[in-house]
Amino acid sequence: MKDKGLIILFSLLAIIILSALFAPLIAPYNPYDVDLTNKFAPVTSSHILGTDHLGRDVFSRIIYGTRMSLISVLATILLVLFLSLIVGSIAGFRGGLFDSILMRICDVFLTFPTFILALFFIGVLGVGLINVIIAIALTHWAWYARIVRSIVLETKQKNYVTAAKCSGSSRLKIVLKHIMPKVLSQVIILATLDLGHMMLHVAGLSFLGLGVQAPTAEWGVMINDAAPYIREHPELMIYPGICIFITVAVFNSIGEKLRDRYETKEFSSSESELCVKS
Amino acid sequence: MCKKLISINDLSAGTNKYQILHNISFDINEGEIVCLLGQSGSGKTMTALSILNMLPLNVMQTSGTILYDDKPFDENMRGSFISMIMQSPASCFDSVFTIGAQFKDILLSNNKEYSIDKVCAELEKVELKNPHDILNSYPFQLSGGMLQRVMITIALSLDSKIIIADEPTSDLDITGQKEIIDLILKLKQENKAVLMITHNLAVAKSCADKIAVMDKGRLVDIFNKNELLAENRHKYTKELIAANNRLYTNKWNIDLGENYAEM
Amino acid sequence: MLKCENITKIYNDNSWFSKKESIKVLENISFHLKQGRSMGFAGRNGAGKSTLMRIILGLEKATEGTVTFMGKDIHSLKYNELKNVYKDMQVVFQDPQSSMNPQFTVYDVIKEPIENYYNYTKDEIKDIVLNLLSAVKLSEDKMYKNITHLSGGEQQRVAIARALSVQPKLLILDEALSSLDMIIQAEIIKLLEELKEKYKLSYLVISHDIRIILKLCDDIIFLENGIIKDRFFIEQGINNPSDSFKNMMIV
Repeated sequence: MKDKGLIILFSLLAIIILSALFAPLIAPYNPYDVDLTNKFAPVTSSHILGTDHLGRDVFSRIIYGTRMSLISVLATILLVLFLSLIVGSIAGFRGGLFDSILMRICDVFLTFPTFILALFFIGVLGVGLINVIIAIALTHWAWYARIVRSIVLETKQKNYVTAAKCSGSSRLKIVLKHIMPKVLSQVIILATLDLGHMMLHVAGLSFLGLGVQAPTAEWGVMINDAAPYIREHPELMIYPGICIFITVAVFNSIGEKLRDRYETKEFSSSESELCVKS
Repeated sequence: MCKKLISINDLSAGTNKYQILHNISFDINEGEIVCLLGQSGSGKTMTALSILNMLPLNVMQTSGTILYDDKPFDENMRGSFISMIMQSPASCFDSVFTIGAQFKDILLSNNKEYSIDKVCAELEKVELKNPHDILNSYPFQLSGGMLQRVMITIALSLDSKIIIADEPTSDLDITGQKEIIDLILKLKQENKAVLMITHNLAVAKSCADKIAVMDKGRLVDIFNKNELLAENRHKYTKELIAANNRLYTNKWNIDLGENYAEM
Repeated sequence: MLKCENITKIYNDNSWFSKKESIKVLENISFHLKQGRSMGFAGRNGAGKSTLMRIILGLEKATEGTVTFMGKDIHSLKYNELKNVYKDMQVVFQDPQSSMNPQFTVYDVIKEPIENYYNYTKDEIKDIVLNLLSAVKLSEDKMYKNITHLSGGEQQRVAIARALSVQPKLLILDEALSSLDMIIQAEIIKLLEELKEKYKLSYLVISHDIRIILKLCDDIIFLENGIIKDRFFIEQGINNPSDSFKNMMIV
């Protein structure tokens, strides 16, 4: 891999993932230890980023927050992929009435703005991290199902799928061996692009007090907690904000790089016929 | 003496990793059909693209000169001096516009007049019936052979001196191939030079004045049509002839080709 | 072995906004291919050759008529039952590049039908694949190469090897040679002639190139606009051909 940008991005991603995995080792304090005598402590050698309004170490909370953010985003994306792969490939492969019904359901989900729909689902399901994950997955799967369906429809027409049929492969085998790899390679790139977006959703809902609940170390919650003190201690909001920013940016750029690398390759090989008109 | 329209001298080209064309030299004279014969990947198309000065971005001409009527290349030559007919005409027309609109666009951008009657007359010359209907139809409504004829008509009405035809027959069936070859022979009567690229010896035999054989980026053999069976042909040319002859013998004991027509 | 009776295919254009049109692609096609013989379908592009092939393979339903292959009525079979038909009838498609999954290696491509029909161990499959590769004259070191890294002629050999892997009795060649260069065409025809002897194959050749059909087939059917125009058998030679067939003979 010669791409320097990609190396930097992947090392940033590695730092994020490692700090989530080894949070107890990295964080100097327990993120839930309240020390009211030492609240709003400035940046010192013992508290690298100071303490918050309850005297908890901000740095430790941010490290633990990485865990929360990554887990929630990964869970969402897995749920989205699971739903959309099943619905999309069934709709694309079976076609007919099945396809029409499933796609009309998708249309219903696509008509509402995602954030408002998510708020509605939380209203129905109740507050909490798991419900936030379910709500965000429910509002995003329809996009993916549509994309999966269109890739399946396209691949289904390919000659090699006909050839596989004539080789006696069962329908399930054709889907798993010929169609799924192609769908996955494209959908995973899209999902990486969308990770950042979903992270913002989780943080946003937590900020509104609908997602992760107050004492938990999570970036959105931290911003919410710091909101009343924005005049005296704006840095308490800025630290988790920067963390969200960096993580979202890393995911987006990796997604974009991956897309450039693999999608253009596929495109150029099929469309490379030189077409010259006098 | 015929005028040299294009003279290629010691042309080499390649990417920065490997060489595609090795020292190719040949001339194309006025009113002459030259066939570039070779297997796919032998560098036929690359030679044609270097004549048009349209090599892909990662390929560079490393040595040699190409003279056009004793002048170096300039942009205005495309269209007015050289035009090109592609292998798959279907992918060369924009399916959003009618044939007529695209025809007009190409003519106007080459400073030529566009009059429907003239174009229709041209189309009738290439044996297309109902030229008005054809101008009003979209590319996907016509068959490959018809589109190829439209392409030839466009090249003809640009009035360029030399026409490069890149595998113009490979996408067509045998009967269609024959019709296109007849058209190309007609071009010769109008004193146009044609550089025809093909992998089919039968096609080359039926229309070329001069055959240039390419193999792995090298020009291995160049000869006049009537010298095809001469003793001193290159080994590769002989191989091609043998393969071609093998295709013509069959267990039905039927003589194909021109012989059949005379029966 | 293969018997088609009165096959007619009509395509209906059912789009909402245009006027309803129906196009007759094939009309009243009947023929009988006997064991041990090979048949060729000649015709121009758009004569309905490929549609006929898809109908014979059971990939499309005929509007009327029946296809019987070794006593089985193909169009009454379900998807899973068609599998047994493909054991005896295999197909090589026109464009070798698109008829094989570009992500597969040569080994993956050839093993797919073997896995579907036999319960062999990995080593046994490998042996079979090696045998097939030598039968189509490809060197062993090509086995783990990606399909896209082979040349057109090599790809078509792999496609033939895949078709032969289940030891079919009938091999359908749908313009299988048209996209190849001349030298390679001659090589593959030679290979097909050898394989015919070796595996006791029958061919069903679909092509616009009469040369290929004359080389490989014993019966010729000439299609024009979906109708059988001429029928020739090798015993009688070609007598009284129609004008359009004569045109095809001048190559």
